[in-house]
Amino acid sequence: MSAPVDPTSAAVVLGAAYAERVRRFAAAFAAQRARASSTSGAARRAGGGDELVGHRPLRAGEDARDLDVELYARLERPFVRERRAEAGERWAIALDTSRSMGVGAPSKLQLAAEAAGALAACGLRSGARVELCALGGAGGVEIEVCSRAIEWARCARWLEARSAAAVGSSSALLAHPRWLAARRVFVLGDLFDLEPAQVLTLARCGRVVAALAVLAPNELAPPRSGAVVWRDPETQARAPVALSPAVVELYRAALQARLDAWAGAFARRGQAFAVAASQSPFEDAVRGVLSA
Amino acid sequence: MAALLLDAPAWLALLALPLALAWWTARSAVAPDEPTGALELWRAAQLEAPHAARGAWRWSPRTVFALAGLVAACLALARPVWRPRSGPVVWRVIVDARAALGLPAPTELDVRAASQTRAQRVLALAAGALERVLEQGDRVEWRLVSGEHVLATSSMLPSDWPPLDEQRCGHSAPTWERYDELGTLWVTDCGAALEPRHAGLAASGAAPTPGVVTRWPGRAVEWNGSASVELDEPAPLVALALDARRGPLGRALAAWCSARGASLCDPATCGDAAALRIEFATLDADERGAGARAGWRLAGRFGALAPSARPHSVLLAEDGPRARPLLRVERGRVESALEPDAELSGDGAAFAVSCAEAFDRALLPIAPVVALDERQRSEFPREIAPRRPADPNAPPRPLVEWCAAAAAVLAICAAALRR
Repeated sequence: MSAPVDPTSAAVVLGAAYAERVRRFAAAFAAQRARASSTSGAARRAGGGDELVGHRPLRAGEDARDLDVELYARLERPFVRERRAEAGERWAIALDTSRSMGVGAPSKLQLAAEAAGALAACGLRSGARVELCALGGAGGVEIEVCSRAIEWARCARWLEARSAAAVGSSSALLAHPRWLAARRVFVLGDLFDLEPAQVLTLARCGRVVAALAVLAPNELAPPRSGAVVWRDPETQARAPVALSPAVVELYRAALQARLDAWAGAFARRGQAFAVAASQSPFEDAVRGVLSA
Repeated sequence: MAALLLDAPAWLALLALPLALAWWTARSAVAPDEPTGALELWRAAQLEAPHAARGAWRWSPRTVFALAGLVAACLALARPVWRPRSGPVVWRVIVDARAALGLPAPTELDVRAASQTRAQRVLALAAGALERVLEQGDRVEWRLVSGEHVLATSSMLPSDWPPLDEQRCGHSAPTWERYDELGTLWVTDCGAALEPRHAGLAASGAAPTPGVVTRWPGRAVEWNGSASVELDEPAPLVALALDARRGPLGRALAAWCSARGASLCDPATCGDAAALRIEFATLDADERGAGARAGWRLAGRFGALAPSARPHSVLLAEDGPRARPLLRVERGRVESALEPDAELSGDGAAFAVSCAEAFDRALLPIAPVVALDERQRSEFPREIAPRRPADPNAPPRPLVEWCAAAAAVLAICAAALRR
């Protein structure tokens, strides 16, 4: 992992070792999902996904739109098409590439991109169609779509082309209509410019939403003494602060309250929310958001 | 008044080191610019923080401890001493008896003081300096001093010091080091070369002043600001009682007067104008004295001379272990403890030469004389406040160990603290 410090030059570097770590992580994720589906059957369901697994008799109360009419005509018995849950799903991964993501060493963007790559690998491994979205330099939304596991390298290259230089807010990214077609939505960023409700509006119609808040070390554990001029990389606004224990404690309490609010809101809606320090391994961060 | 004094204040110059370090630290302690996505949280935290916490010290505790340790070390080197409050004090003012203090005060430095003498100006300065330190119960003792001799003392401000007679005596400056004590104030005209460690100082300042730079009977040399010119002067008067002129001392004096051009006069008539007085002690009825010197001997009835605190020399002392002074010489006066008609034996010529040397030493100029280098001197006024002496019943407490211990503790704290 690289360790960019200057937000203006914070870029993403994904090495060969990263690819191997992602492969192992995706394999482990797939194996875990397979075990879960074999025990509960929950992963299999009628309709929804694109990959056809087989047929089974229609059960009372099931949606009649999944009824295989041709089979019913031939056999005069109602069968429904059975599909794998992720098969044909769309996973949308929103990556915050605003300037504030360049903070930290390694930068918050580095971990968010690594997590996005790992999520993409997991999705592709599960047969899902993965859409990676990020704000572009001109304020527009840049999208990369991968449908097959073999295309993961393209996702990685796309991620490596990201840098913490985008203008615009994450709320503009979440307003993109592409999310409406996704079954799983992952929001990766520092989330300082978002409120839980803005993300949780996507958690409708059976859509699963997960958010990963990536914070820099100096945001999670600021120094307790000295003086610093805090600067917002996006607005360039500055706040000179004398770091007394009282001030630092107030900051930490405010940050904890904010993270608790996010976690509480997501828990109430049955969605996943995780917090990660930018220097932590992506595996831990991704496990947190895949838990939903 | 209790006071913190320093025995070696020169070491305080080392305070420049922590000051420079503090300046450098303050410069380098300019708050670093750090990016964060949580700027609003910081702003809110700062607004909610107590006011005292908002203005927290910008330097790290380690820096503060290190700087404080250095300051304490410098203080320890300066050897601080705590002097407890003392009781009433007798302030001693040592007034320079040199004739130069009778010169006019420098007019270019203070126009209002144009009519003042240096002595008048500096005595006023001294009175002002004392007024600032005097406390209830304190007293002031003014002393007119030449060398180690106290010529006069006064408990009131002696605005007419030094008297004209004393100026004519050509006194030297006080032995200042002898009076370098707390509770003492030195009073002179030229203080640039004086560095009292404990005493205060008041100096009037000086400016080149033309005038007579040397005198001898009938002649004088005057410096007019650029050159020296010789002047005629009236003959000096020598006072000797008529009934004493027949004795050996009177005859020697008469011979010396004719050689020097001086005139003999009766003490009752010439008054203060006499440049030399020959005086005889009141005789005791049955006491005799005798003394010998350089081949001559003088013997006769004896009367003890009154003790003199003025600079003097003994021309003839009594034989034997008592060695009482028989002939005493000081500026403007020759005193004899023997009767005027004492018996001279031995070498009369040697006696005349000894007397002539003594008369030459004792003869006063008819007016004060100030040496050329003193007339040419130029200095600004100077003042060092006198300091109150310690109470002998409450001995001073050295604080060196405490300062050193504080420096050590602070240094350990600085080393132990995280940056």
